[in-house]
Amino acid sequence: MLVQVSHITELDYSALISETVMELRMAPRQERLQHRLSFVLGIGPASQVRSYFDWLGNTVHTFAINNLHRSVKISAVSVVQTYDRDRLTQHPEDMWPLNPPTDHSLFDMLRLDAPVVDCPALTELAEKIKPRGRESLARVGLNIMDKINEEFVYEKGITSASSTIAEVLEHKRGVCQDFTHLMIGLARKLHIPARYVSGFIHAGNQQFRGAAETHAWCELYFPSIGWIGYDPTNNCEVKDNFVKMAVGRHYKDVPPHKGVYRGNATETMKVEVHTMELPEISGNLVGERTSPLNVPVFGNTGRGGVVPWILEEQVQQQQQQQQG
Amino acid sequence: MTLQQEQNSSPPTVSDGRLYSSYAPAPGLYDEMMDSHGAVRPHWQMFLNLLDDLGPAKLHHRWETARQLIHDNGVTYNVYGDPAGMDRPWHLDSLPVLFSAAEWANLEAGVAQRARLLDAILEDLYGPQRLLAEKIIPPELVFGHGLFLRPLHGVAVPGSRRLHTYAADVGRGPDGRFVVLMDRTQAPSGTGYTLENRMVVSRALPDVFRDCRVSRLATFFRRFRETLKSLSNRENPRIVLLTPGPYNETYFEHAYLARYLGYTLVEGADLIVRDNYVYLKMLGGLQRVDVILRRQDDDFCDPLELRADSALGIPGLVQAVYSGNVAVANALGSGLAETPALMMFLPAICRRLLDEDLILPSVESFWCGNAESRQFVLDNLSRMVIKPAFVGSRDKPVFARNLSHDALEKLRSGIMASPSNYVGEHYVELSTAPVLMEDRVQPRHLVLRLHATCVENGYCVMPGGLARFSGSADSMIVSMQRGGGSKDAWVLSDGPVDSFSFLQPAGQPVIISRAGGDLPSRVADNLFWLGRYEERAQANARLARGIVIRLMDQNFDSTAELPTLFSALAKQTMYAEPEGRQFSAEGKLVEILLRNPHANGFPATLQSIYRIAALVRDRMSLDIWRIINRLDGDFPRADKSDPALLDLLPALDRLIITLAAFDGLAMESMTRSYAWRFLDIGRRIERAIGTLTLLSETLVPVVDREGPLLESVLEIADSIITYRRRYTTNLQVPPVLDMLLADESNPRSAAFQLVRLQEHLALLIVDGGGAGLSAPERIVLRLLTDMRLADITTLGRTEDADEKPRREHLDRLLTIWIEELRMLSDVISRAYLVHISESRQLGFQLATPAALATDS
Repeated sequence: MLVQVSHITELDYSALISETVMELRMAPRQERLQHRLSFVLGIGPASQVRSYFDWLGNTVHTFAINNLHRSVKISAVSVVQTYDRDRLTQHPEDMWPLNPPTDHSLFDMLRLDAPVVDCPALTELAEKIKPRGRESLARVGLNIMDKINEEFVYEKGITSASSTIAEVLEHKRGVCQDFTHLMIGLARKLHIPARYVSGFIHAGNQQFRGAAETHAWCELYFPSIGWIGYDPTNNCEVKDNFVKMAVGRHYKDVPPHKGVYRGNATETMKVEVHTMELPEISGNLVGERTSPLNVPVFGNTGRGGVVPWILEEQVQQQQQQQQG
Repeated sequence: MTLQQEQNSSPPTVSDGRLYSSYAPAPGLYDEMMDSHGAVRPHWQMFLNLLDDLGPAKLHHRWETARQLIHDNGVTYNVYGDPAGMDRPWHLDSLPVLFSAAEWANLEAGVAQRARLLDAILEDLYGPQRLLAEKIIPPELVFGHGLFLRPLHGVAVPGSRRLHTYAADVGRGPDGRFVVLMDRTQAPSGTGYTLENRMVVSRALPDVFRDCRVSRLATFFRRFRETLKSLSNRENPRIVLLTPGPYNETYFEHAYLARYLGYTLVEGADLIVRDNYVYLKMLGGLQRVDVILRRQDDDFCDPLELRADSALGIPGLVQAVYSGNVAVANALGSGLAETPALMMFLPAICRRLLDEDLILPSVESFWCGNAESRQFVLDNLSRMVIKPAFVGSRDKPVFARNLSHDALEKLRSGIMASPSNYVGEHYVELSTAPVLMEDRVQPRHLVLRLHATCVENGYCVMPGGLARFSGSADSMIVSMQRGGGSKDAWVLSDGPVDSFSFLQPAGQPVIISRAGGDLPSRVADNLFWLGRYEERAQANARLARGIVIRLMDQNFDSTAELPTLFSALAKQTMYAEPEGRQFSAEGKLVEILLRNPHANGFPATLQSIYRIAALVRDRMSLDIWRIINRLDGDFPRADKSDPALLDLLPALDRLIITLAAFDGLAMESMTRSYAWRFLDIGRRIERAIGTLTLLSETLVPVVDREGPLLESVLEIADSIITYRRRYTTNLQVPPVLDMLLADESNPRSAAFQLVRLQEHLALLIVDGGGAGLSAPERIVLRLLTDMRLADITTLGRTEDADEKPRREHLDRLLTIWIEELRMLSDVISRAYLVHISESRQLGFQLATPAALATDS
């Protein structure tokens, strides 16, 4: 499937900010079943963007804004060619229980660590799912998803981005992030390496939870073929309408944006995601580019320079706010 | 804070001639000075003879003199950063502990090897991870906790060295063998304290020190500086010492070391990463930083990549390291090597990585993540010291033999529940050394902290170091908090002693420089506020004194102006009278001065002066610091009994003189650097605001007979003498206004302050300012012009439209001017100091629900 994803983030501060430093994990991954054709990253106020691979192989873009500013806008538009699992990976032969992995790098994907915390409720649930004897690993994956969908309700507003699975297990409710953490926790309890994926779903004509948002699902490790995706929120295996941005141990490794700012303000953030299936690859597609977006800055203060007069009014306003 | 608190070290006051005649170490333990037959070990002989020659009285006298001398030179033992504001004493014993050259050679080789080993471990685990692939250590040791910094995996560091400084806590068992109790690989502390101890002890016993041929410490620091310098390719790299800040328990050491080594002391907020380079924010602009000597924990160093809730770090530092543009010592992630769980694997790792046998053994330690070790620990639990396996964990070591049966069982089930989080260690019966306690020499258990720094082909170990001793003879807990103390450790040399010293650099000519150097913005900010608070305290004290004098003088015709003065003082100190309470005039004054909890109140202002001055102590002369120190004693504290007016007057007098002395010294002894300018800018703004506020409070509302009020205003503004000389005794409003507002020759007038501000600001724009006046300069120019143009006669005019006559013109102008001055303070902050504001983490949220998918 040829999919275009527009991912627009707008950040507004309640007052002028002297510095924002951000890290983005927004570029779709290059993988066997997913080919990134184009990635255009727009950032305003204009700033220099650098990119690197993190320790999990995700592409990270970083930038800093050092002029006084009141808002930041990020627009990430990508075009991705995705493929369904082929014959080779459709029916993996791996059986549960798995042999302990010889590759020590899988240790991280087997360890229960916040927000995928170990707790009695998790142990209890894992016991219910645990196969009696040898079982196809693919079957175990589907069973975990069934169990989650049987016992948990998809509902927004109950959990937050920092919720652990202990909270999810208590409330029996959550969103895609929680369902994914839960599945990761259960898989790891059964000694199956599992990892977190952040990305998008293109819904098309169908109904999918988590479409038009940033979505999350999980991948289980099949020693014979590698990582296979499962979406516990939609109770389905991952197909070609899924676009992967980043993978990690849990959400904290892969937030689409992470940042630090300096100044006395609060922030509000708005995120819009829009996906679209393209009929064909357009001739003027750009491989990779960053472009400045028009967002105002207010004078340069970082170098002992001057604050323009324009500011005085704002300075006064702030002063009053502080006093009031 | 005061001399008495500073040190409770024990002066030697032995009367029977020989210090150690009653010394009796416990049998079965190793004693550093006496062997098991009660004979003095040979390498102590000379030292003890020299002490005997000196005699106890002389020793006592020398010790006191040395302490005084050190104090006069500005070295104090106060440890800043106690949250309670109390400075903790640094307890130093006057007797050093001695090690022979032969003993030392073995220890030195062991520590150097161990540093090399831990460095090799870090290089492996942050690189190829052979130790994991070959199953020499289990993966839990690396991945099972938070100390392995994954973003640093595979990141190369200069010279492939990650451990630039290393410290080992070493103890000696009953068999006389040294064992390592703990490794410190992240940001080892103690070198500063070691230096200080050495300085005090060697001054007290200079001849003994020389005759015993004690190895010097300075060479170690020279090597250390060379090592840090070598981490950068640049000719003259800028090296900074990164401290978590004054609330850290070892902040004093950070400041001390920075000064000793000649590095700039910085906090995270002083540094900024741009385009993957690290810069120090100076008033004159950004200056590139090449090497960061950090005293901050690994995960706090970058709030973006490492620990999201760190307010101390430098966002983007990891990327700068990754790009090879800055070196961090010790390398980020080096804390991994100090996990106690690693200890039991060290002999095997040493053979694998270095192809050597471990020279200096660790305390026998058993990581419970290993089934066999776990069983051993559980079987022998009551004889074990149980520690968290991975440092950074909050739990303290537990001495199982001190536990009740229940507590022991609880510990046992804790270990069984999550075995890999625990390490069991054999209890070491530490050796003892003589410590002077009151009037007797007594044995106390000893732990040595030894330091090493990497050099070209290995490690150089500091000869000697910091020895710490237990609070009592039967306690093995060696801790300052539990009544223990520290000793200087002397390593006696066989050969000649290297006399290199940082204090007397020879040979190299010093380049003459007059520039005050640039100033970190944070320091400028501190000085700015120091100036403001100091001036505020002075203004309030003068006003309060005016009130006290009037209250005390029975003959004084004081009915008219007192309420006005009271309301001025209340306004300036933001005092809100508690509802429903009536005070006598005297009581009210005490309330305002001593019990006002507001941040602008008198007690808080004095507190702020002391606090901020402590932060910029290295920018001030010792004399200025002494004056600041006196502030504390000058003024009575609010306690149960209220001070009488009679006591308040001299207290205020003292305070005013002390503050004036501060002003005078700042004026006379600080070079005209940025530091001085910011201090003065703060003072000038505050004084201008203070004078205008005083006028606004006293002269806007018109009272019946203004004479006494005008007199008190002049007196408070320290301008009465000049007035009398100019106008004899004829007190009128316009000349008073002229003198305190517009007279640019009167150092107390508002206009005078503005002229000074104009001078300062004109010199501050360094670059990036472009043409024309800066925003702060514009405000000052406008204010000054307004003041020059103001018609004093009009301002003095009274309008009594209502029943209460007021000076409306004056009121209007003063209100605007005060407002503009407040804004000036903010604009200066924004123009020069803006980046010191705190950093925050963006909400870590998943995307909010947004627009609908529109295709299909």
